[in-house]
Amino acid sequence: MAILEVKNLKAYYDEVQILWGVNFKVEKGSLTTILGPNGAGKTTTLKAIMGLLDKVEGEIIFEGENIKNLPPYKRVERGLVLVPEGRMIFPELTVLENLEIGAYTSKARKFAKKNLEHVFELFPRLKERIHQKAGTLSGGEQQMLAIGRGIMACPKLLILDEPSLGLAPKLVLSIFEIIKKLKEEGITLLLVEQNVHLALNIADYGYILENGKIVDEGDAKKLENDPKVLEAYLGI
Amino acid sequence: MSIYIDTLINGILIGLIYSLAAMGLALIWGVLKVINLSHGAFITLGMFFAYLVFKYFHIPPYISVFLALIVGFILGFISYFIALHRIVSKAKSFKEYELSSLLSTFSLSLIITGILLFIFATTPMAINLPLSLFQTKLLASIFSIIFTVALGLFLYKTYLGKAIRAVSQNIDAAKLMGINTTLVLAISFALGIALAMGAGNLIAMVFPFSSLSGASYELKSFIICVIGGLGNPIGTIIGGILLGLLENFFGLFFNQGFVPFIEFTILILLLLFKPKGLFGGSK
Repeated sequence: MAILEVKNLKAYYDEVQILWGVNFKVEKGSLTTILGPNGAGKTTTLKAIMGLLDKVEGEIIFEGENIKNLPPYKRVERGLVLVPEGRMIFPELTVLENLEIGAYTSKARKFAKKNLEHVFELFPRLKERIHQKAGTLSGGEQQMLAIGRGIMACPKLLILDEPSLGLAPKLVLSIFEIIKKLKEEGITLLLVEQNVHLALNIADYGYILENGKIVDEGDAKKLENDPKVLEAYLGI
Repeated sequence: MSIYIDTLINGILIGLIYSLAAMGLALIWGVLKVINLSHGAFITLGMFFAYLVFKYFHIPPYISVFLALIVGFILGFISYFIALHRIVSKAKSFKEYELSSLLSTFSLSLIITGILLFIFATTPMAINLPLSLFQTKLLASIFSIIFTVALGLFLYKTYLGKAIRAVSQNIDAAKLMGINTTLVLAISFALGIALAMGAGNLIAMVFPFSSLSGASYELKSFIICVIGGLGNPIGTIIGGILLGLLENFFGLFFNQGFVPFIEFTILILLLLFKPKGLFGGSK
């Protein structure tokens, strides 16, 4: 069963149309990935799904209901959680406060204690820096915090936007290890990435987004050997 | 020698009251990035609130201040949706509403001041309590400390307080955490107005006032925020005390009428040489 289904999604920045009818599905319990070059509309798609854009057309069906007209906080309350590109942590809040704010919704607050332990299990580094201001963390630690904050929200679908962006190769691998772990725990994931090989390596299903449209889709294993995928990335 | 000690104590006490008034301005700036030009008008409204409640219900200001906070919160909440919501919520960044928010809060100020002028003209008012001037100052400053500490605890210890701080740092990220940012903005504005009215209520206990008094306290609040750095609560308290001391010591040697001149000079010098405030501040 699809937990999220996006139908004919169109999005605009002011008068400029960015998405031209995007269609995709995320199956419950799966790790789905959306790949595409810079400027293809990946982040715009996610912003539209979360309700951060003014002008959006089409349908966004989450757990069988069209949530297109809900404000962002109501989507989060339903379990749709985004770890945004560029991490967007709260720099003046401590690590702990950032995580607490991650569990802001009333449902997430009930599980805050348990989830906090879980986050510290996944990222022991964060526990060491618990009372440090988040702005003083390194890039990798901030990414861990951003993912941790997402876990705190009790997501039914956790969306990760470019979690490897700007990280050293070693850190990229450890972030992907964590994503794999989350998948094994049964969390449904949507991963948007530029790092094609790593993403397809851990994903079940993939979509290729180019110029605001889905141009190809298929099982991750199949896409890895697809000439169209290679073309999309060699054509940057 | 004792006159200096007197002046020192008076300066600190008055400074604490000023800092409470400034706190409301700093909070609204910090969270909404709006320079609230209706701040002074709401301080005046707090003064008249204290006066009327005392006159008709015989409730002294040190008790009616709690009512003033509640009334201020309600008025602030309504004012947010009347004057600010439409321009704030549609903007992609606060730079887009820098000017329009000045205009809308200024018109709010004109409306409030106009109503007060219509009813009370500019007749000077004072509340006669069976307390000495020093006792009223002491009482008002103790309340200022209590409210400041309460605000600090609220912002740092409660979920809603943390949400307010999160919104002030990154409103889009706050939305992604499941925070109803419209509600948080409205509550922050309401709290800022509540603090302004509460401060006005306390000031009315100490000094005489008229329909136009708010303007000078608004100016003082601006100076305190500039000294302390907008959006820095500790800086606001220190800024308030510095201004209180300055005014009182200056009054020892010169005509009190020069005080606004000195205040403006400080404001301009600070803006020229330390635009982020003496104590940094978030931005």
